Amino acid sequence: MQWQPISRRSFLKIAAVTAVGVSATFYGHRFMSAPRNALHVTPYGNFLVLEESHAHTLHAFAEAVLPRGGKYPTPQQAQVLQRLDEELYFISQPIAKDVKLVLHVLEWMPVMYAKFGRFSRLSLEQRLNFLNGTKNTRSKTVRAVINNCRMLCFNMYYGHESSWSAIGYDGPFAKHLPEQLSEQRQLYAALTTPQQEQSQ
Amino acid sequence: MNNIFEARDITQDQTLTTQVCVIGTGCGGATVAKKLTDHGLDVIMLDQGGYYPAQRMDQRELNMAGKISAERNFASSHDGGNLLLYGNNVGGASVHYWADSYRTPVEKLEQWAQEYHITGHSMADLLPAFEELEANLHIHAATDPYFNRMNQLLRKGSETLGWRGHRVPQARKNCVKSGHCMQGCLYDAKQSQMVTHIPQALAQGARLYANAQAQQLVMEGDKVKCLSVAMIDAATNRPNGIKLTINADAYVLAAGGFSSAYFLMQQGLKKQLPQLGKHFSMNPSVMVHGIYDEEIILWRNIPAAWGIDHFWQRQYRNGQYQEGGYLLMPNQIQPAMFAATLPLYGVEHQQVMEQLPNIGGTISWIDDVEDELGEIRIKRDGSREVYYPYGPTTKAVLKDSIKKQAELQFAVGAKQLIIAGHQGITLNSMDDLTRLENLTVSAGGLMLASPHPGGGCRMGLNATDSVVNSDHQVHGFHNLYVADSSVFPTSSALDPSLTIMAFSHIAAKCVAANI
Repeated sequence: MQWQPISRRSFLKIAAVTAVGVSATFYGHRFMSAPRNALHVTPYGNFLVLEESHAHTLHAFAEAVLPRGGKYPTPQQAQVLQRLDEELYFISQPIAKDVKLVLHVLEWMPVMYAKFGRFSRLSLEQRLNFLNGTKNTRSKTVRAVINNCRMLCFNMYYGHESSWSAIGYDGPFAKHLPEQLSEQRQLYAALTTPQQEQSQ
Repeated sequence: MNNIFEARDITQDQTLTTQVCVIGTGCGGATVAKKLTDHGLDVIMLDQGGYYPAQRMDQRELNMAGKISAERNFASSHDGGNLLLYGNNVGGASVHYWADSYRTPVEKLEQWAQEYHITGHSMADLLPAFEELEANLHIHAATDPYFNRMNQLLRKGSETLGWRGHRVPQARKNCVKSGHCMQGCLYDAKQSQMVTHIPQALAQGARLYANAQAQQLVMEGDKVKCLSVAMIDAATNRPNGIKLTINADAYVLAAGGFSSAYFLMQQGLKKQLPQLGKHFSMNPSVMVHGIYDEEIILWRNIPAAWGIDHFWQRQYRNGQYQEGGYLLMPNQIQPAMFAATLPLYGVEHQQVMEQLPNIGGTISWIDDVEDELGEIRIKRDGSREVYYPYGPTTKAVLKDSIKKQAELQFAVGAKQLIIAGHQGITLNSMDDLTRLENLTVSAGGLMLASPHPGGGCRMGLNATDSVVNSDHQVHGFHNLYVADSSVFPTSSALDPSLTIMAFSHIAAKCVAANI
């Protein structure tokens, strides 16, 4: 049996090109060349890695897959996008680029399935139906893209304290132990907070 | 202690001289350093990760992953389907491991001696090391108070089904049952390298440099002349421009199973050492979550007090794989990582998460199939790729381990099982096992995690079959050694930490004899 030693990045790139042709190449170039400390002001917050297009896709995904209503925080309240952006800022650049490519492929993936719209422009119900419809896909790319988006989204959401009471998790064993923010967390907060807010 | 240096302490380029420079401070590096200081040698320990003792811990999943886990747990295999979990901090993976502490199975040691010509690492050779380590790290079989409900169920299930099990040996002292082993032990109860070999080496004069990334070995003939090290700014996680140059008589590479072969490849040694990166194993693990009528609280007490070794060895009939090839254990993950493994969306997902206190689960640790091992590669852009093929026998073993997990959990009262992965396969009874026929293993079809890397710098006879000799010496180099799981010829099958430490006793002896 021959296994295909194709790298994760390679097949994501191939998928991106297949999905959206010239558009993906154009956006892919933008992802690769974005300066590291540029602040992207988006409707969901100020980000260092995620651009507005990624933020729309990720927010649409989070809305579709996460619990809603009642005792559950919204993706914004649980800071899903903000925390993912922070994580991406500090990990190796090849991995951060992979994640951005994954979001880009997800955005255009419905087109591959003959849906007439990008992921972030589908209705909530259409997004859920689309995701559930991919569960038994034979495509490695589709599986890898959705699997990774799901893992990242849930990990950020349930890593936030606001989601814990809804699921019966009593938090850290050491009660009342304050967060010990690393140097990296402190830096990220400083870099994404507008100067006037910092001075107040 | 005044012999611990972080990036903030180093304000200009420095040249340091020592007898032995150890790269990496996990189970391999810290143990080697401690043993070398026992021999009276001067040692410098380097770790590219940060120094996070208990007072810098906070038991939050994401915060702690950012401090002690490599790539904040975002690293994956070549197809994005397997999470690679390892340390990037002083103490390495021992800071986030489960504290399971097994002696290497005799069968493995015999196989490595007979098939891969390894000498000096038999059970008789390693026994003094095991005994010393077990005393030093307070290793003992888990006792009843440390069985959470899932461990109790696993034991009951193994007894009901007649499957052989055992109390898992634990490296702990005064454990308070917090359940935060994977976030680092706030109580210094887990006997990680941070509370054992590292302070012991420091007390005997070793120096520790955290945020210090080994970059280039400068070679002269068959000797490493010096090592260039970049200091990593703790805030930006990038080199800050300050360099250390280390002049040592010997260099011990102990960067861990995911990193040591990659480091040697970065030195341009692949042509000279063609086996570099090959024969890579990682104990892929597959999880089956179970929903129970009773409360389980999977996130408290110790992760694995009971293990089932009944299926440890693969069984074949007429050359055809039948069953086995893994160890079964209870699972323990905190809610964020648990949710990340769930294949459900929206309302379905919400319904499961709301039952979190009643959710238990099991995990199987696969003993990698020898002729289906993976490879560490270096990509054109210089980054690392972990390639793992999931050959036909490996796939069969994975599926069999899911069947056994299902049988076990249904036997002890699970109402519904969920297989971690993309496909959303749920089982309501053993009759549903036919659904596994549609299970896809690669690229996220099945969610896999691998915290036990091995190989890539395989031990053996010469450069045509391996990377290091039985003295842990890199072929062709007089003063360069490897002391971590990357020297294993094949998977160690069980949690490798104690094997790594025992092997490092041997490595330290060889280094000291050659100084």
